[in-house]
Amino acid sequence: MTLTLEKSPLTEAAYYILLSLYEPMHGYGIMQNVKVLSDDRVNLGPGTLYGAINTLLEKGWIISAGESDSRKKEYQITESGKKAVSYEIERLEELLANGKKITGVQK
Amino acid sequence: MWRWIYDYEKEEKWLNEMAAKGLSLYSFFFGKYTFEETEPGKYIYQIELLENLPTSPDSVAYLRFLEDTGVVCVASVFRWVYLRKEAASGPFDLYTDIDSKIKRLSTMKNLWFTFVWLEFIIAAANLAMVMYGWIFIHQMAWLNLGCVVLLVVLGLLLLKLGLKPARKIKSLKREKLICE
Repeated sequence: MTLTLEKSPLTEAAYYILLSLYEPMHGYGIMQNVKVLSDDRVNLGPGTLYGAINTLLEKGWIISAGESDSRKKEYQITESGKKAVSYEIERLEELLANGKKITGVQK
Repeated sequence: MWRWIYDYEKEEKWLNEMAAKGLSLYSFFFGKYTFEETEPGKYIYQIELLENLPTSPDSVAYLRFLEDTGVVCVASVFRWVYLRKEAASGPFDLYTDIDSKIKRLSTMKNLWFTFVWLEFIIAAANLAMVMYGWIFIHQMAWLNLGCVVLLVVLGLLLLKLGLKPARKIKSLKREKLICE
């Protein structure tokens, strides 16, 4: 069951949160980082981020990594979280390859 | 300033219009709004329905998390909280994907519909009392009927409030079939 879960498509928010947490980071840091990563395209709302973090914690894809100097809670990706990301990358590559092949759009 | 707004979206809009004029809400207690003078447009407001009372550990954790992102809770009434954020630090949307929007709307829908059921059950009980003549004193019967009318009116108002998020959930779910 966990295996199928790891292979199911991630939401954009979950994918970018997981990527951010290859380094320990607190909530606000994740929001900023996702904004930078996506070149200002993805703005995570704090409510959405909070829900996503809790779900990822429940799944064991991220863990709470203690508190930073400013007493903000920090999170970090786990091994199963990394696995989920690599499945997602494979999936995205397939999507991308098929899209390019059929439409001829190259970028 | 005293006001009574039952639709939170209208209330939110009004608070943001006030903030744009330089009057920023800093406390609220059952219809009594207190504003502070700030630079026009300094804050953006949002009203949120928590899943638990603001004093519960879950809500405390959530509000603390929000604070870390620059969102401050200025007031609360039961599970409703009034949140604000400085406009200079960018747009203020608590929810940015369809799933979490649906979840939030469901919380609201459930709240209103619980009250709707409650109202109608009490109204029906009142009506039953009158019909079966449990109460023989005429004045009391009128009182009961008055209650029924009042409860039904209130129930319909709540139903209207509950149907709004219900409709939105429906359209979001349709959108979700093709978008994230």
